[in-house]
Amino acid sequence: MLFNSFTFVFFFLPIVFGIYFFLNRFRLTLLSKGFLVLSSLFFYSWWNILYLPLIIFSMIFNFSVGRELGRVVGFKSKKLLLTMGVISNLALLGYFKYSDFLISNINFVFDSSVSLLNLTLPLAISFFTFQQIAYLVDSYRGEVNEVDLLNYSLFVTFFPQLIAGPIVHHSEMMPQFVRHRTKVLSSKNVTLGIFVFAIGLFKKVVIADTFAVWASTGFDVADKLYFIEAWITSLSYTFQLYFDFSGYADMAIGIALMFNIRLPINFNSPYKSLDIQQFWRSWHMTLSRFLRDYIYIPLGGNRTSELKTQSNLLITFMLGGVWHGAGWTFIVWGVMHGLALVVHRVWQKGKFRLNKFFAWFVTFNFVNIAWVFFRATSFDDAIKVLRGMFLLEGINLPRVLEERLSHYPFIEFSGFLSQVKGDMATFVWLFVGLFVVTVLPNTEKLRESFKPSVIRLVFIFAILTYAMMSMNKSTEFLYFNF
Amino acid sequence: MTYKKFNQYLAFFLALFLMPNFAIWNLFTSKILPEDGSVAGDLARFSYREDIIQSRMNSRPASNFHTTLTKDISSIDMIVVGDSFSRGRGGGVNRYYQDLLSNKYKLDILNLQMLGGKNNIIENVLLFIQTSEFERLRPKYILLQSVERYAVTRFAREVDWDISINDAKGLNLFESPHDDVVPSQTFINFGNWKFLLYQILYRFDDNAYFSDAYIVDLNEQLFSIGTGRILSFYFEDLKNIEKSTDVSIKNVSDNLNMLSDRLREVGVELIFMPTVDKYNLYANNVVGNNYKKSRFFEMLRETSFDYHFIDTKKILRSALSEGVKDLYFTDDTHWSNIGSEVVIQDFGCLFK
Repeated sequence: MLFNSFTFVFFFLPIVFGIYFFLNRFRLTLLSKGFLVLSSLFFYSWWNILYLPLIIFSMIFNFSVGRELGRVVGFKSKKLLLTMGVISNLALLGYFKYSDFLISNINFVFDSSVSLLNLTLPLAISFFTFQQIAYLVDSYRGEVNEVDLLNYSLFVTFFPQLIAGPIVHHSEMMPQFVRHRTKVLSSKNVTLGIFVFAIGLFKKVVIADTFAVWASTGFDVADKLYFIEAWITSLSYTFQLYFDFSGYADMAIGIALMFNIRLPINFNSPYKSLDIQQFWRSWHMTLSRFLRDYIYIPLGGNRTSELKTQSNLLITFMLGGVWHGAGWTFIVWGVMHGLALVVHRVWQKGKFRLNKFFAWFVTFNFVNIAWVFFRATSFDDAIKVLRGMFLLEGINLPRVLEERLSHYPFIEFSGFLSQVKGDMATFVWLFVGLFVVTVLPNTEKLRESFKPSVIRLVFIFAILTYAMMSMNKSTEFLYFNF
Repeated sequence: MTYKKFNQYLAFFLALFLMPNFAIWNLFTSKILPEDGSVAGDLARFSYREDIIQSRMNSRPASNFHTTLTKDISSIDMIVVGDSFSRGRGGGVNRYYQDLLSNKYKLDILNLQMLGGKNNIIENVLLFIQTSEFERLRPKYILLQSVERYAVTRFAREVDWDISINDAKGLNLFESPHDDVVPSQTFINFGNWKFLLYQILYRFDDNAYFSDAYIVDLNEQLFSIGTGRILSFYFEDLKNIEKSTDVSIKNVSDNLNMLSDRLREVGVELIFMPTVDKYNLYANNVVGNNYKKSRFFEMLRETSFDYHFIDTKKILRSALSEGVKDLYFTDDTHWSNIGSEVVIQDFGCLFK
């Protein structure tokens, strides 16, 4: 089930919300929690019920391991148990997500022809696996110990964050369910939740889906891209990804808020960043946190030699790339960011400074170029876009300029913007996108400053109704493939 | 304002928004996007005019069907390369003129989509005759069909006559083209509000200022829906008229003649069938017509033909003058089975 579907907005959410608070009103806490878990499992299995046993099995397994970690005393036994737990989770993830990647690479290296498994990737497996690995490590460290299966189930399956995050720590979420105030319907939280949800919905179905057309056409359809079309393709994807994913995160946070649960924010105006470190502190923040706390720091972090620190950064981000997808383009993307962070470290140590605008320009364009590898389904597609971006395929201009400019050899005049199915409105959208991501306050800032008023009522009504009318084509979120 | 009051007002206004959407959708807009399997035309969708809807169900009662390419098809009589007309997008009974052709003249006909490649139809045909599929199929005829409004764009282009199959990548003969599928709509959609807006605006302007569909009056009853005196047509029927110039029509003619010569070298006859734009066909019957008139067919007739030219405007104008109604669907840019049955008579001289 998608957040941006009528089934969710008009049926699932109101019904679950209503019954949950109804049960809590009569202090039927156990029942309300159980109902929330069952609703979340229903929400998950709406996609494909055949994979429901998988998430249930994963939950029970990790709960058992976590509980044992709380009981076991010896250091070695604990470490062994943790290792076994983490490896099991990664094995499950690896089986579904990386088997075919491994097989196709073995076939390539050894010239063999082992058949691919063609497994369907279970929805949200990357997210609930990482969330539970974080839980196991926290249990090992003694930071958390959940002894109640129902609570643990709720932690894993709570539907606002189940499918695509934010990746939540147990200690962030579960204490909120215990508090009495959480169980009482709050008009303020409902208002703020709707506000944040409406912004997220608008970002997804209006803005992201508009950019998706140009991005998809440029990456997947065109066999070559001229300069302007290549930049439209890459920038469209840069904006599509941000508005799609941050829109989803807003919706998740907004829905959770309606239930009086505060989820951690996942985006803090990343495209305003002046350096790559700042970017990773504001993009997919809960994943960055996971990578930092469970990979980078255990590897030694920056408390080791400079060379080791740099290699820790590279390894962490390479693994980050691998997490995003089973493909070499994802690994290249991860390595690019790892290298950028290494360069940033050296830059910082050298105490170099850049003009603010230039710093932003370099950061934004690096991120934009790196997204080309992230999005492309093959290196050929990535090279196609990059060749266009760096003028290797020439420029295509409108026919009205042909008379004046036809003597230049690298300029063509055939179907301006047709390669990306664009028109003059495309430039307007790109400008608006850039303005929104670099100038306007983000959703969290808007939420913090929210006060009920007529203007805000009109605003929410306008974006909610516009988004609902735009919702008819139910498009999946980009991060559903993770 | 308290948060509680805010929520109450929001719920109230949302309910106020949802109710008219529900009403308009169920009473009017849903007819333009029927979900009972019937077809409503593209012009009805553009104009939100449910009064021009000519509801029809798709069926293929003709006993001989045309086919699409599979790996086990051997020789074929005719290959058709065309656009939405050749993909039966008008809908209704016998929506494929190829079926009618196949039935009447006992021909094995293959509808072939040449996608990708050079995105130039003539170059794609030149590539096709270099493929193993061509060797297997060995058609006697290749029929190029194109709507009139795009014919100049498609056939007046520069052609690389020496194009080699080794140079071109991605010529895809087996993939079906992605036709725009009308998405399933829920009752909350922009269409409801466009419906209301257009009901007003069509009273003041032939295309309601913003619509892709023009709605004008006819001087006689040429359709069987409503008064039969309403003509709807696509805005590009007018927009592309100026593309027919002496130079562009000559280029079309030269290219098609050259292609015909090249096809004859491999034993294939070329048939070119531009399907007359709906506006062009009925232009003489439009009341107080101040719009430009197309001269595409008139100019093309004056050129020389090394290929077989199916003059759909001449054929259909003749039928109109004999009082034949519904040659095109009232609500669609495509001709009806009545129109296509009239047109295929003209193939008789070819296949006697």
